[in-house]
Amino acid sequence: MPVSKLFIIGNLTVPSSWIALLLGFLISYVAIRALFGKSDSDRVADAFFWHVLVWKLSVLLTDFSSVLANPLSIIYFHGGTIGFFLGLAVAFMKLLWDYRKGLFGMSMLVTAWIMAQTVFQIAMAVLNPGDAFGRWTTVVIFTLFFVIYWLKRTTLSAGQWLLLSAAVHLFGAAFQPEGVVNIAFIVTVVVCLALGILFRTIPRSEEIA
Amino acid sequence: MNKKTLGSIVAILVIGAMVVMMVKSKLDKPEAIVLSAADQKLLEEMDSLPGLKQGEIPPDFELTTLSGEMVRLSDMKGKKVVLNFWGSWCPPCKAEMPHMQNYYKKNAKKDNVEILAVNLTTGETKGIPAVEQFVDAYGLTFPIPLDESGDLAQQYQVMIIPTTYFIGTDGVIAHRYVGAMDEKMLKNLVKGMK
Repeated sequence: MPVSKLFIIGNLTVPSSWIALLLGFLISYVAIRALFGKSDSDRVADAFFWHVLVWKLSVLLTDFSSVLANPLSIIYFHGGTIGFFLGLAVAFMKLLWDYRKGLFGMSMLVTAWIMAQTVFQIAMAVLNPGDAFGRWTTVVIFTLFFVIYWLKRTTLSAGQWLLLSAAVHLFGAAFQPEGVVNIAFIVTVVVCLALGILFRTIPRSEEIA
Repeated sequence: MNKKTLGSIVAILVIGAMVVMMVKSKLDKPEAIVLSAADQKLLEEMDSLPGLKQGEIPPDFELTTLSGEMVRLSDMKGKKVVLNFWGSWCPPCKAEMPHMQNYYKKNAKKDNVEILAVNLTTGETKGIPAVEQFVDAYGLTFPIPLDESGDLAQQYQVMIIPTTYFIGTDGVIAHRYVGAMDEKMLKNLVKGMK
């Protein structure tokens, strides 16, 4: 869903997408905490923290001359889309490292991802005024997927859920005003591919739950 | 669920997506963001500060700029107006000025944008010389109307600076942005208005 709402909180202007990202993270954190325990949910919090930190500091890379001219730019600005994906990459690297050490399982990552993805989509649809059709279909499709995942979590493998999450997003995006070519869908594709590759390079366990 | 069932479900979703996109492309007309009464109420509740709201017609004004010209908002009808409020003492205003200037030089003409950076002169303790010094230091080329009485800031309910109103070609407020904007943000906000 395109951002059509800016929230003015104190002396900051916060785009709806940031609220949606925060909600996605929060629900993801709570879900992992409930299902897998504190140590796993701490990894989720860690990943989110690193993502946001790198995204913010990436302004040094995307606009070094502005930061040089005015160091306060680090506080006021961020690295944009490039910074967002850089943050995602760094968070993923950290997770990869810990996963290799066997500190958590595939299903934890997949659960965290699907929680974040579905809640983000639903939040974006709720928060942004505009195309009613796109908003309603998004809420229905992703809420259904959210519920189905909770009920049937153990019936599919992690990799199968990843594939489904990408297909569901493709389907949902078709109804949205921006269509399929938007950053959220690109993120879904990137994350599903990255996690999929990650799962294939580590010797497969039969772990499902 | 076995592999075959999953495969069928994925296939259905993918084909479904393509069908929906095809139907949409035949039916779609570009849609303006129309706010329903419920949406309007939600928007109003979520904004923590007073300020002129999206969809309102902003008050017209006439001010003298730093270079001595008269500028009137209604003269700008048909152009997209970026109405920025700033002061030379304010750090985020300093941070965003180079970005605004870059945007102005590179894109303003082709995007049909005029930038009016209203200086809150009542807050300038060193007066107009400080404003001139600032404008020279940053090499700003867009008009700098001077709000010497403080009335305009009050009319536009500017409590925190920088505050920027984006006024569309239809003369209506498209967005209000509080805080420093970089070039990317500015470009996106301009793109997102009529």
